Amino acid sequence: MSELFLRAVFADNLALSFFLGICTFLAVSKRVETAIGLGLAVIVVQTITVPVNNLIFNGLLLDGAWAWAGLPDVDLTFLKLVAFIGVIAAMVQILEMTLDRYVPALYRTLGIFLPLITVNCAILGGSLFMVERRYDFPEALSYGFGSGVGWALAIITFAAIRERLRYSDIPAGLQGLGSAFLVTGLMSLGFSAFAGVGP
Amino acid sequence: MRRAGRRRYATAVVLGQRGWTPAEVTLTQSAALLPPVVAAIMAGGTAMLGVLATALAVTLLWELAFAQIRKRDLTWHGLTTALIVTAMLPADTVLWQLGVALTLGVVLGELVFGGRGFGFLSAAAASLAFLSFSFPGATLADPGGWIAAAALPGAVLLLLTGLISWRVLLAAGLAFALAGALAGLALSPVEVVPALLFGLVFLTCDPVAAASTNAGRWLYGAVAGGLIVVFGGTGATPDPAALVFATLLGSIFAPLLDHLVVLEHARRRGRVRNA
Repeated sequence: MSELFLRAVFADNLALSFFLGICTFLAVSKRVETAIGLGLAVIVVQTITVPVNNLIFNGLLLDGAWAWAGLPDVDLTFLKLVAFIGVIAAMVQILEMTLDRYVPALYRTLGIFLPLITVNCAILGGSLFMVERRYDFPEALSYGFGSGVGWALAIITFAAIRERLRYSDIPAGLQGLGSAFLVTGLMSLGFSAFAGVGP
Repeated sequence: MRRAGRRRYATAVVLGQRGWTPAEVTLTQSAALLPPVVAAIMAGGTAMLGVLATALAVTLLWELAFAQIRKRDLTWHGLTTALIVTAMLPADTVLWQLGVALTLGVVLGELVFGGRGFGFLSAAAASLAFLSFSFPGATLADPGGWIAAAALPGAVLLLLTGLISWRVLLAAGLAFALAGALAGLALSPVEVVPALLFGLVFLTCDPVAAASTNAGRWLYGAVAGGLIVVFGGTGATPDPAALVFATLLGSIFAPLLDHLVVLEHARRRGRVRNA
């Protein structure tokens, strides 16, 4: 279980190995404090949605899941995307209301990117990987938490590097997004070393 | 010379109170690198001269190109990158692969950010990482034996002049020993110290790659040293590529470590009220 968690954080890092959720990754990484806020939001959403989607998929959608009701031939797996996105959207909505009520400063800083977590491909990607790799519920819990932590670690580290590079002397054409892509690539090169570690 | 590239260090025996100029830093680092590179060439034969020539040509060519286009004075920082890379490579390195890897490492790791001191990682580490990541056949040499012995005077020189941080060196060494013991590796200091010395001094301790606060340096050294064990396999000495990637990841985490150290410092001084 801890191996699955470590793999999800480092070797299978959603942002740096699969380049998922890159739009948010690039847009909300100018300051470390904001990145920490978004990272925490992604950890919360991911830790809840992946196991919940696991229950929904295995309990309602999987081929033969309705056998107990006398419907052994019903296969609802084609509803997987709709169901997953529904769960994610509901989760994000609840998180948004919670942040607005208790941490209004963070809520304002995250702005449009908080509702955009709904369509963050890292979140949906996590749930789809869970289906593809046939995780059971405890594994889904571990994977959801791990992949969220991995994405958060990536964006917080990235934001710190961007803050440091604020005093660098980058050619005009590469300033902003251009250098952000370069730094993402270099970070991904570093994280590639984790792929050779472990079983 | 641009003033922004100047660094001040406490132990300026020769320089007195004035700081280092970038040229003096490069000169000192190159002097420290010369004995190990000579040792590498003597060990590897004439083929090593080809590696050295390619490394020098590629790094200085890109330095020159960037200096021309950006209308800056030519700095000779690429010299140290070429010398470090040469000492870490075997004689049978494919030269065009070395050229490609050095181009990527020097341009994307250093020059696009404005040159030495403006980026966040060591160009030599980035080049070596590109080489071993991109070309499956490419291996790195184990800079132990005579190369390590020849690197010793340079290491002492850099430590005395304050161009590398003893905190990073000590933290990396301790973290490596601790992580190795936890992983149950049978490591003998007689084999491990020479194998790691060159890489730790010239890659991990590179002031650009390392963290820049004192507490950050301890943490950075610990991260890099621990990751060498994680990536290094179970052999008697760790794989040299492990040190390169551990350094690269250390540099990636260094700005965050510095940031946390500064935050903690500010919190203790009571300047940040709601941290």
